[in-house]
Amino acid sequence: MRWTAPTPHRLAATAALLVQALIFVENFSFPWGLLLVAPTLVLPWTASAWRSPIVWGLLALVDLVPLLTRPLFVPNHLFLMTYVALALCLAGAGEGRIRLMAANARWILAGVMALAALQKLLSIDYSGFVGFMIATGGFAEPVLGRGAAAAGALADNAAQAALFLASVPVDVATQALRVPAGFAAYARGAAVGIIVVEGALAALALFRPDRALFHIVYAGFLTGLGLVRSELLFLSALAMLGLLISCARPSRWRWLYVAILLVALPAATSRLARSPSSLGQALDRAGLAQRP
Amino acid sequence: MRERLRALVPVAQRWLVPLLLVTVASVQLARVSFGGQSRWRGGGFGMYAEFHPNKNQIWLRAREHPDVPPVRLTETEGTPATRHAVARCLRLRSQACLGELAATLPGDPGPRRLEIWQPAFDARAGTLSRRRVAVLDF
Repeated sequence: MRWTAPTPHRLAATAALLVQALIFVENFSFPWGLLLVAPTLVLPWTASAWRSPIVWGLLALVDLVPLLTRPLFVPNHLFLMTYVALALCLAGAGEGRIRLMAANARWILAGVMALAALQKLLSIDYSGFVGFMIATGGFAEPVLGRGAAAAGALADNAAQAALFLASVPVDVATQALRVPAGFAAYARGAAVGIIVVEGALAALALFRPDRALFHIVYAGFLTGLGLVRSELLFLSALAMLGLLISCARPSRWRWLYVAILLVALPAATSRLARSPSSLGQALDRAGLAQRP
Repeated sequence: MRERLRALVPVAQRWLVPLLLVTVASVQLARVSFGGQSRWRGGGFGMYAEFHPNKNQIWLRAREHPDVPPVRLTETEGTPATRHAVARCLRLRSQACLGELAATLPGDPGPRRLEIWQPAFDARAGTLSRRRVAVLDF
């Protein structure tokens, strides 16, 4: 029996449904999160309902529940998934579905990246925040934390910061952290670099989504994001957008996003199992929870 | 009428989602600028643009007893209403939110003050500090 590659249509729908299922697990309490997973993963494959606007419309409506009831507490990838589900609903079931799906994914990605860059430009705390994250091992730890001395300094800084933040706040009180000479320039360079990459991705997604350059920069960004900050569900949602975009034309780039999803989705599931998500709560009740 | 609606379908298919994204983000940006909302929340995709809201802090002081150490309010202690209000105020650093939080606190004869503090880091000096971003006397 010969294996045949799934059509781009199926591939994109599978990725979107998997990400959607995990987002339900994360954002609905036990047992609702898990109860929503079964129809999300199973029902769309009966009678090819994965391309049905009604199915995607219903998924978008379910996404709206936590968005409207507790908007300050839900993560941004829930907003992203809602936009994707709505786009897949609006794309219809006809001939132009793939093209519309990719066009909407392109706009969503461009919007997300442009907003991410804009928010950083508008924030007075951004550069200092990046400096703090680097100094305490929150960013680029795999790179900076290699040497024993550097790892020790990062751990020391993190401990000092935690101690300071646990104390009673006083207006003029400050806590010095151990940073090397020229640290401010390094932090500023990292802060500017992040904005440049996000801005470039917004422009590429909007104007050159079919070029190899877009896929190379985007895959590099996703890999970097996975290494620097393990935001696994957000990373999966972004990889899903890349897959939706690359499915518009016959191209091998889509397998790059499939590869990223094959790593990110199991890792995200594992993390959800160890968190207070509906999956974590279910494992807790079953006595199978493994707390980190 | 039906023809007109049908003509709108391709426009909605193409532009409704980007329009929705921009609208939600604009509301979030306005709330960040004028309402003290955290950039991390609300669909504005402002993650990593500032300190995470879980680094913000809420302190309760007795105004007539400056020698009594203030109490830190957290998302894990107090009545459910207080916990929810604390969680909200960490993400919505405003006096109005502190007012809602004050309403959930048990009564006390003396005047009190609620404060929201957020961290700041000066990369040039390598120093971490905190600044008061919202205050409510009640």
